[in-house]
Amino acid sequence: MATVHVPPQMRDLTAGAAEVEIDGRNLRAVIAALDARFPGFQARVVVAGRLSPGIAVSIDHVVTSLGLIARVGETSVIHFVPAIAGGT
Amino acid sequence: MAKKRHVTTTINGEAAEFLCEPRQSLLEVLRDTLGLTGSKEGCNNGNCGACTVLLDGVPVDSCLVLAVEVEGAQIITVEGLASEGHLHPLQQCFLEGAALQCGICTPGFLVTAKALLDHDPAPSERQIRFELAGNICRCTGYDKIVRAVQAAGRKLQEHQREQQRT
Amino acid sequence: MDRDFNHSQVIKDPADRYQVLGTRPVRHDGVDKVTGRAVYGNDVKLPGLLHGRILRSPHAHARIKSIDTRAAEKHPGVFAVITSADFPDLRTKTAHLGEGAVDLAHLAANCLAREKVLYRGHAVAAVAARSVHDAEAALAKIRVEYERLPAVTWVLDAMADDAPLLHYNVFTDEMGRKSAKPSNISQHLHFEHGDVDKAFAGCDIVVEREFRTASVHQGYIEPHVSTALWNQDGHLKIWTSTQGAFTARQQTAELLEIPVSQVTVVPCEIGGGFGGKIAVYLEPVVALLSRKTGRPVKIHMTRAEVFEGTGPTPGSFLRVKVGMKKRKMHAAEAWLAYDAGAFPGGMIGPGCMCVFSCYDIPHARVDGYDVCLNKPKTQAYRAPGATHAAFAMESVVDEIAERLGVDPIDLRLENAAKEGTRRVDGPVYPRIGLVETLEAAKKHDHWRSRLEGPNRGRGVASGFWFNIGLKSSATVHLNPDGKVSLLEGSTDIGGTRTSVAMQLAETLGIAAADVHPQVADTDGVGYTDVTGGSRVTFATGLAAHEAGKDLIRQLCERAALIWECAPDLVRFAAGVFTHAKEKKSLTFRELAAELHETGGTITARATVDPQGATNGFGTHIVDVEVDPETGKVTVLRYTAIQDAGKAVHPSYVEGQMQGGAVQGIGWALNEEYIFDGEGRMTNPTMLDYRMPTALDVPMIDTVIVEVPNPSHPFGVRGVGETPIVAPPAAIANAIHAATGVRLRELPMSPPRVWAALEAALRREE
Repeated sequence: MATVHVPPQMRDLTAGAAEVEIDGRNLRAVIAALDARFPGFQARVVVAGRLSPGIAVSIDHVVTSLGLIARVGETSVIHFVPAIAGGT
Repeated sequence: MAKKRHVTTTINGEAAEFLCEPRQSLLEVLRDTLGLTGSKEGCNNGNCGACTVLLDGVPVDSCLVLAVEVEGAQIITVEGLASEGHLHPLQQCFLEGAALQCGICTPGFLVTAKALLDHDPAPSERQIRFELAGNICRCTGYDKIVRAVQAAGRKLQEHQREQQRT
Repeated sequence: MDRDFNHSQVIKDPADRYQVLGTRPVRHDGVDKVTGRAVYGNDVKLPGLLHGRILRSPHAHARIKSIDTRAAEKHPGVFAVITSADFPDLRTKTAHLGEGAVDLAHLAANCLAREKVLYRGHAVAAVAARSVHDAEAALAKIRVEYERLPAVTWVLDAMADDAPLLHYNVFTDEMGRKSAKPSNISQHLHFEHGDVDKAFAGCDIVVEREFRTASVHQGYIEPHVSTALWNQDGHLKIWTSTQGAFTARQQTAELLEIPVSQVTVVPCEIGGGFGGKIAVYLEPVVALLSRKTGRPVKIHMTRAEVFEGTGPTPGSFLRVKVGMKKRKMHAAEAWLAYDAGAFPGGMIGPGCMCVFSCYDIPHARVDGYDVCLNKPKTQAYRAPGATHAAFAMESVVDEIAERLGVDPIDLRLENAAKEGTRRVDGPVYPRIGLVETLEAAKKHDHWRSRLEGPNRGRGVASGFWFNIGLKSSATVHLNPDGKVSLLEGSTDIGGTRTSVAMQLAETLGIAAADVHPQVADTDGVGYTDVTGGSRVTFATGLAAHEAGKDLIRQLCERAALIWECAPDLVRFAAGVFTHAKEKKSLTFRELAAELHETGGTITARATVDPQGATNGFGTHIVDVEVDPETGKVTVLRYTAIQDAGKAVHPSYVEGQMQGGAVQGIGWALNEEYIFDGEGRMTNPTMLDYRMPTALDVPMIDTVIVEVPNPSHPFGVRGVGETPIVAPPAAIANAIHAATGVRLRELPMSPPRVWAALEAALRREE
């Protein structure tokens, strides 16, 4: 089971749970599974069929650029973090 | 709109002439009329030095010089630093010393530094920084620019010594 | 001032066996740049070119009641006038721009105001004319009727319930949950791990301080400039000063509601960007003027327009609280409010994620707010949001070190983030180099030497930035003489054409001078994300490396053809192709010479989207002298130490460190937007917006520590942004050491330093 760390601002949906075990072969499946268990989760992080633009997802501590099709391993750790902007 | 004036001058050692409106700056005329786009517009009010040219050997912000003022003068722009296919030692030292990053301020620095080294080929670090204080660079932090000017000064002195020997 | 200290050091990885990487070749575009031949945006000339100017709002906040352009349209020499009415009316749309999202309706309104002007300098209308002077004169004939509204320019004021509201359709977002009422607060972020309140209760020492920073501009010497030709066949071509041709293309296409394939963007040589040339301002405006006039149109901003009309970095308010159990950081809390500027979408995310990122703190909590107010829309400025956070945190760490009587570097070493440390936003660090930079600082002559003299002090601070990966493409063609053409899509802001070319040369076993790199336009190379986020040497270098491997694979197949053997019998090493079983070999150059007669030239390509850009850490040491009579702070000595992974071209890595440090010095000591009571910037010139000159700074010594990045074939880490993060904190700490006074507001300009010293004197009396 993958472990999803629920951001503090989304724990209103998970009755306060900070970590949730969930199954899914990719991010889309994981979010769908989260939404099934905690209704409203998907609407918070998915907009028009893609990850909400202000949100990035790190899978096993690396931010993925593949969006919802990013693969999730059987023991992956998932965090939702703000998307970064950079300048040089 | 006032009638255009005819100006005759010398640019990079060559006779040049142009027509300009009295309100046009030397920078504008160099870039837009004469096609010498090496001098850059950074601020257009004399604070960044990206438009520096030599006017009778003196570094000036060409955005603060009216084109009509250069009648009969000798102007050197960045395009006049290399000669006969060879880079000026300043240009060479800037390249070898990585003294540029985006390069937009580089023409202004080269021209100002040339005036400095023509006057004194062995300036101290403080003198270099003082003379270059009118040229702003946002990319390099100035360290490699100062070192490149020092290196170019040494090269020029070497050339001078070689010429004296022959 | 004439003393030379240690200059520069590279602490190499002992396993390093590179031939090209780590050398210092002259950059490939160098001669053009020292002779004035390089073509920057304002050097672009086209037949029939028209020149444009933009009319900007004199008010910081107002409703636009009407715009009458008729008199301007009739002005001699004028060919067209446009307003936001010429833009498509976009419903709220968001384009994924690779480096963060943008709301397209807001982006369009920032290019030309719709309904309201939200800051002084907000663009309202644009004119295309025969000359810049004609355009300028026509601006004066445009009649705009404004209904003035109260303006707000300090972030805390903008958060108040009774603050003037900028947008009726912006709500406070909390990870996807929106507030019921519109607000200037467009986002509230909250991160937490551990049990913070309980942890604070168990601490021996707790230090809590507040900090303020002013708006600061990226300060590139080249103003924004764009030229557009909307041709009669409907194709739009744009020459522009941009950090990303592909993002400029996408933004322009989306704003004008035309297909991306209808637009070509040519990235000119760029005169500085630092994050401020990613969002478009001029491209869609010149495009519309070109479509209306049937001629190419160029607009080049004036310096005042750059200050008043383009994004500064956020001004901010920060409160940081740290609790210690003996010498260990046990609990920490931060409350951050950052300007978003006139439209939502500022840098609060990275700010929140950076504030505690240098340390291993088991219990931590961060609240951050993105706040709209009547200033230009903020844009990224080199490690956006991190410098503010470091100013606060590194000052608090310094204060704690002093209270504990511990050396400030030792305190950092004992609490430093390492591989496996968890950040407050959740993810865990891979292999990182903070400890190495602290150890190098501790050993450095600068830290060990005595600083003599009155009013002098030494400060140290560390900084962190993420670095990103994102997408890059590269195409490689092989010439018959063995030289290689490399097409890549990363605007060269600081010598990256060369650092990318060097990686290709290393892969192929040839000299850097045998690679001819070119930055191509959006038709000439595959999609490439912006030059930003410290990504080019990492990601575009990777693309060049992968294209190099593709080239070698194809060359092996060609050698197999020539040798009439199976391709898997061809080996390549150190620039030579050999037959595994027979005594046959061809050098790279020899094989290249055979290509034309054996089937034709070879083209290789790659597209990458790498993970694992990892993080950049730096530690800076600075000595200052404070003049008590004027408050002026002189920087006597500066050393910047950073982990670069692998310094591909050490001179340009040093250059990034030195440039970032000096920008940080300016931010620390002088730079700020000074607003009057009406929300107008009173200092929009380079004289009064005071950036450092050569006379203001000493040599910047550098130490590059190479801790290879395991996610890159050459160990590369991005380096460009991290150097701007530590300087203001290091300088604040040095001023404290020199005077006993701590300044907690940026800039620490002479009037502020003087006032703080006076106040301290009065307290003593």
